[in-house]
Amino acid sequence: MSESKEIMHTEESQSPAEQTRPEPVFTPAVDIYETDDGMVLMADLPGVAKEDLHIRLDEETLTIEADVAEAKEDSNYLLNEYRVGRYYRQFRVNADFDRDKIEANLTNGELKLILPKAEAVKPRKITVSAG
Amino acid sequence: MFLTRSFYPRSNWRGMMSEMERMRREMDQLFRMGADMEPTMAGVHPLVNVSEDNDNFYVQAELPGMAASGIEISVEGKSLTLSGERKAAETPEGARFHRRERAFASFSRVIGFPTEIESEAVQAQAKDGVLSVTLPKAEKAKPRQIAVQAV
Repeated sequence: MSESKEIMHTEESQSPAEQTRPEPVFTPAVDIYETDDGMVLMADLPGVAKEDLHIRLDEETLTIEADVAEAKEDSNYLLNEYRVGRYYRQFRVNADFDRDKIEANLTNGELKLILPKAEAVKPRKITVSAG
Repeated sequence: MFLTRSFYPRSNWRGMMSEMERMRREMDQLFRMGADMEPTMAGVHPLVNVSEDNDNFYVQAELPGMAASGIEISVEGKSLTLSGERKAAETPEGARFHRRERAFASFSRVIGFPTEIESEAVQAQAKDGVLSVTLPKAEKAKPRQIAVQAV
């Protein structure tokens, strides 16, 4: 039972720049898979609205950052198993993506980010012609 | 191919104070659990926050990737049951996983309350992967103000 708890917990980490406000920053859990056409990243971001999610792809870093509205601090908690705060996670990516065709979709707090590979780096089947 | 950012130690004073505060709250909670809130759980997913005021109990649960239709809620006497199944989205054939950190499973969790619940009036809504349930306390369980009469 303790093992499955480990999986579900969002890891707490610090964003690279020091924060001005003392609030928790969480590392969202992700699944990343690659196909011949590109890469797909799925992340769990419960409590994040579409307008509060920011995804950036720089030269070779992919940044996912999101704000979550703070819960009422004066709540009288009987049970407090999770806290809310920002989400922050960065990945280094070295593939060449077709930057114009990147798609991001957020439904029910689950992000699906599709990064299609640029034509130049897609695996190509080369037919050998008999000479 | 992918690297996560390393963790920086917390260095500011206020951050440390709030961390202490959080630990204190968690300790308090551990001690209190035995008394009036006995969470009986079957599996740990989902994580919940339970708060109360004079009229209601409020339950919030993190259920990313779950549509409202996939969450089953039932109330009986003093307890609330949340159950459902989180299924993995279909992955295309030949997909090679770089990371697989998210868990998919069916879940069922019972949360016990110290007083009776007005089961007819329970309301629930799911938004952005967070489920919020409002459970009104039964009339007889609500705190009552008693006026002191001067003699």
